[in-house]
Amino acid sequence: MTPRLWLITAIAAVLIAVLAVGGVNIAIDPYGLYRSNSGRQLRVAGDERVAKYLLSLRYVPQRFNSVLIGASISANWDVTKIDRLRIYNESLNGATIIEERALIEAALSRPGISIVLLLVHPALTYSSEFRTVDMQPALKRSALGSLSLWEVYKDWIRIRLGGAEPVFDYAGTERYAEGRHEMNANMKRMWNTKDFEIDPVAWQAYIDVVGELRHRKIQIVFIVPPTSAQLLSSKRTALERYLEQLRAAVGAGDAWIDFLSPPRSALWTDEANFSDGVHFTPEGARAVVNQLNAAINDWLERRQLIVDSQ
Amino acid sequence: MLFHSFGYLLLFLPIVVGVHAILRARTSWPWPQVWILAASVFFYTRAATANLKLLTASILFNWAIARAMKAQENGRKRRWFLWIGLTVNITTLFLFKYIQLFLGTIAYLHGPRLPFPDWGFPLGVSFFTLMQIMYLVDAFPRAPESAAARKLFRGLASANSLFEHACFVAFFPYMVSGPLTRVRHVLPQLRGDTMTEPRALMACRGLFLFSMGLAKKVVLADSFGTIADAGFPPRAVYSTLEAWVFALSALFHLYFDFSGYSDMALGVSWMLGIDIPQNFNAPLRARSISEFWQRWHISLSHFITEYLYTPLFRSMGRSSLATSATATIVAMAIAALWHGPAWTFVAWGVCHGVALAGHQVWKRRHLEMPDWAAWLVTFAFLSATIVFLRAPSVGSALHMMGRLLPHLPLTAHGALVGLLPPPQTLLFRPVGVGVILAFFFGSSMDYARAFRPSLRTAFASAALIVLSMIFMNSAPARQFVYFAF
Repeated sequence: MTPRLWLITAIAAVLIAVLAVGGVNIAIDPYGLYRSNSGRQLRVAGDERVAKYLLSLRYVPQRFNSVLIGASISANWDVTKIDRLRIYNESLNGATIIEERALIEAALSRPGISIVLLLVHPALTYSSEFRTVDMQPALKRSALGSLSLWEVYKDWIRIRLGGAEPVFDYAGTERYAEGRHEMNANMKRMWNTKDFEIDPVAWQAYIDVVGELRHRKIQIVFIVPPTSAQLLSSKRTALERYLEQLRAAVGAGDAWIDFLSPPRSALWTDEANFSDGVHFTPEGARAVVNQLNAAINDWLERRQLIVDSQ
Repeated sequence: MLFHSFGYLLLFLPIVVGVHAILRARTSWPWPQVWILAASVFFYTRAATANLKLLTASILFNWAIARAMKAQENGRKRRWFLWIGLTVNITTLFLFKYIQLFLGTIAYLHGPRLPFPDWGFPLGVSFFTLMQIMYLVDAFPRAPESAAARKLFRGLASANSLFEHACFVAFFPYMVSGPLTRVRHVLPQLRGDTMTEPRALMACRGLFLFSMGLAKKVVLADSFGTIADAGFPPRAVYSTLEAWVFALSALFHLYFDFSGYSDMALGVSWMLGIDIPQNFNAPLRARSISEFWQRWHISLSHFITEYLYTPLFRSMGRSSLATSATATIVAMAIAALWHGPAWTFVAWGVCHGVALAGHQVWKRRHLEMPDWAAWLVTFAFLSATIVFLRAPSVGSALHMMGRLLPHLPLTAHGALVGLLPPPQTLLFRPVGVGVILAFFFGSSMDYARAFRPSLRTAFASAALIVLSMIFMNSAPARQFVYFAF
């Protein structure tokens, strides 16, 4: 083989392989980035952060009108049961507001999202780190061929062969097995200290997110999730102090749904709703979503009345 | 611009090599060289526009000093020019790299810290400054009397022009992180005087080596780096197993990162028809610390031997084992400090210096041990001392070294699992491959030397590039370790 032919062969092989890998992945399009998403039901597979970020760029704004921004606490809330909104659950396990802000920015990069349900919980402002990947626009390139995509196909094959059940539904909700979530080390530390630690960068990001949503005229539904009465007893005052600081960010037209308020006490006094005091059992998650559905319906009706009266 | 970025791989490199090949075929000297210089300036400014002034000043100053030395007939004045040149280069390095360490240490010992602006760390300053020092010494026209010094001061056959000097110093494959190259090695090639094999074959060999270097960096080094990053600085009380996993990962990370970079640098140079020194030769298989330094960062080892150890040894007068050992330890400490402005680096250098001195004694006494034991002792020493290059302080490094000694819990791995980012299987596969390659296969240079154009090598090269691109597409590019040195 002559050196010239060798060079041509090697370069051509690289080009053909790159085009083939990219072409196949564009055709399969597991993140809904390249084809029309009309009628598609795409589940999170592989790395949930990569998947939710990439799905948020096109699939989410094209198929949904609202997003739920939260952490593992809200990851198993079945948002398809909310009657009047098409919600995508952007909650991530161990999420910080920094990561969730990246998901909001991705989802709002195209028109489609008009309401954001924003969890109010110290877990979101505890740290300002990206846990596994930097969720940024350059990540879009990974949809053409990457290790995270390889993990997606592996998950699909496992499910197709019956070796595993899908973990997420098409609206981003994660299905926990009963008692799967033991309180992790961070959460333990959070609840075992006197006050809630707040990362100033994360706190500022939370305030910025609210400001940005307001600037874009996106309606915000603040949700204070239930915490088991047993766990809450030692930190009720600290939590109220924390909530009070964020309550100042609520604007006219926003909703503040507080699951810790006395009328909803049945939810958090029943320990059976929780797997670890913070995360919900499937039954507990269903109960939360039922009440959330009622509260959102109520809020939407009141909002409609205001619009009608104007 | 990183060697393993898409911009470099898909645009910069093909354009530079392609246009260079056309210019070589259609024009005469110096146009291909002008093109490489332009590409080198573009390469450097893409990474560090602000530092171009420093690079330019360094090129102009050192070239002018070399000219002045050549023109000066008075031997004493010539020597003065040499000392001025060396002093300015070392001072530049000190001001940019060590002043903060120096002031910080003074403040630690005596009280308030003296204010001094932090000018940042210009990319490649460590490497191009050392190359300028080598250039000045090589350009010194008078050969001293002793045989050893004559070997060192061989001098330049002919003076180089400013253009040639700029091409030599700013050559983009080695400007930022080496290999440290001597002007007399490159100058004839820049002038197109020497060709050891047909250009097309050299370019193929270059691409073959480049693909191996790229895969070493993005597939292997970055996987080891992710594990090492999780372990340093220590975030938990590690078991013996965990401490060894983190220390070994740090060693393999540094090896694959820098040898991968060096393969890429050499590969690109070959694609441009220029041969530069080999930098690595399977160092983790070394059976003594001396052998290790003959296989690891070979161009720096030559620098240490010829420009630090030999002058130090000669300056000590009487030749003995004690003076040799002292010169070795001091030279290694200085070389280690060159790697980074921290006392942890000095500690690493002193450890290696002491080990080298110990090995001199060992050899002098004709002591022996089985090959496998010699390898094991060497490898354990390298793995243990690497923690100095990773730990934030000497205390932290010593603590980590303590965890390497057998202790309870011996094999617990909760911290390891907790600290590593998921999915961990994606990390451990390349790591397993890396360990096997480092111990049981030839070095990439062995394969490059044995290279013959065939379908098998063409597809192997293509497969490595595509695999690397998939890894590059999976995570943000990690900078080369030696960019920070």
